[in-house]
Amino acid sequence: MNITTYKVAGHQFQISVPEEHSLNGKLTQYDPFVCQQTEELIFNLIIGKVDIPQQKETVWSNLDATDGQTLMALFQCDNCKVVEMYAKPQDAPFAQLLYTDDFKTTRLQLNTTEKELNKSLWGLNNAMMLIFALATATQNTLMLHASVVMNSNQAFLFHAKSGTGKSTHSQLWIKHIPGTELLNDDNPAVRIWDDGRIIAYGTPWSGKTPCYRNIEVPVGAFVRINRALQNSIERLDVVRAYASLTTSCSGMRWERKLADGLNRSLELVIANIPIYILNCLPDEEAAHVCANEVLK
Amino acid sequence: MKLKLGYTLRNLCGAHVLVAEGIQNVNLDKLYSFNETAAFIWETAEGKEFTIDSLAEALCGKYNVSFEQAKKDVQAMVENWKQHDLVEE
Repeated sequence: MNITTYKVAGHQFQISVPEEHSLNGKLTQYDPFVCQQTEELIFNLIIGKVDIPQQKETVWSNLDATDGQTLMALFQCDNCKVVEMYAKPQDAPFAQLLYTDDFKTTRLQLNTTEKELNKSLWGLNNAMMLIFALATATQNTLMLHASVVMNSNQAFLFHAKSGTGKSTHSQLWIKHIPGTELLNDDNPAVRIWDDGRIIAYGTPWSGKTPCYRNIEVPVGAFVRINRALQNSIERLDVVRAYASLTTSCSGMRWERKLADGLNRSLELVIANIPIYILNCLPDEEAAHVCANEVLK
Repeated sequence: MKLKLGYTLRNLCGAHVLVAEGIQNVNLDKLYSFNETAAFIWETAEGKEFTIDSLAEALCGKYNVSFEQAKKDVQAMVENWKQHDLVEE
């Protein structure tokens, strides 16, 4: 086994890959996050054969989703949960994740051939994002679906429904707002520390854009991107801010404990960080309208 | 009557928000903003069988209103919840 320790958003975890597995040496997107283990791990994901219990009850699935998200089903077993991922709803699962509620056991079986490296990575990354979001939900950490830029040592998180243009808006900032850099293009983490700091973190996951930066920046604002015929920005009240943010947080509200954790984090964010909606075109003016408000 | 499963009333910086949660609800698009009275009635109704009268009684115990007025208010509220599919018979 090749066991490597990583740290994301201040949480340490391990991935264990068998010697002869095709994923060995291929986890380059995780490389910037390698660290020495100095504290208790939130989990150790072991890749290999997994004994999936026969007795299992479906508790959740998105097999009817059509918006391009990975198709998954969650099963409750006697003393563990199993998440299966599918390329097509009728296919056999290409990845099976088994975990216990305390995350002391987290195992992943990849039903892919050696040649299907991208599919193996797809399974691993989805399993990792899921287990990371679950294991940190109760530790004041949010996994968000957002594109993040940094400017003036502040992070600005652009979130939207898939396909609306959050990455496009980040690119407009990079081009037209001096001093802007991309922090993460799809899956940043945000952690609320006990001393009140609210920090955005790069992660090993960034959608289609390879932007795996181990950087932390204080959160300046959240901005929902909404396509419109002219550019305007509006700060949202508490309820609308919650409605806006909650749909961009990794879901997993299937357990009260996790839902409570997510909610506590969201409440702290909403109480301390301005949340906006940017009605915009995909043009230069949109970046200026947004930057003028959030950087002032 | 009973409240539908899969919703949680959350307090957000002083605002009351009813959110869809749990395995009964994968759809997170639903979200309801409640005022103080609605939040109190929801909490009273949570996790048990209730009637308009039982909720009206609780409302009278909390606020200084007549039973008739409380009943009218509860009736309107429950009717509204039914329209949003938050209540089952």
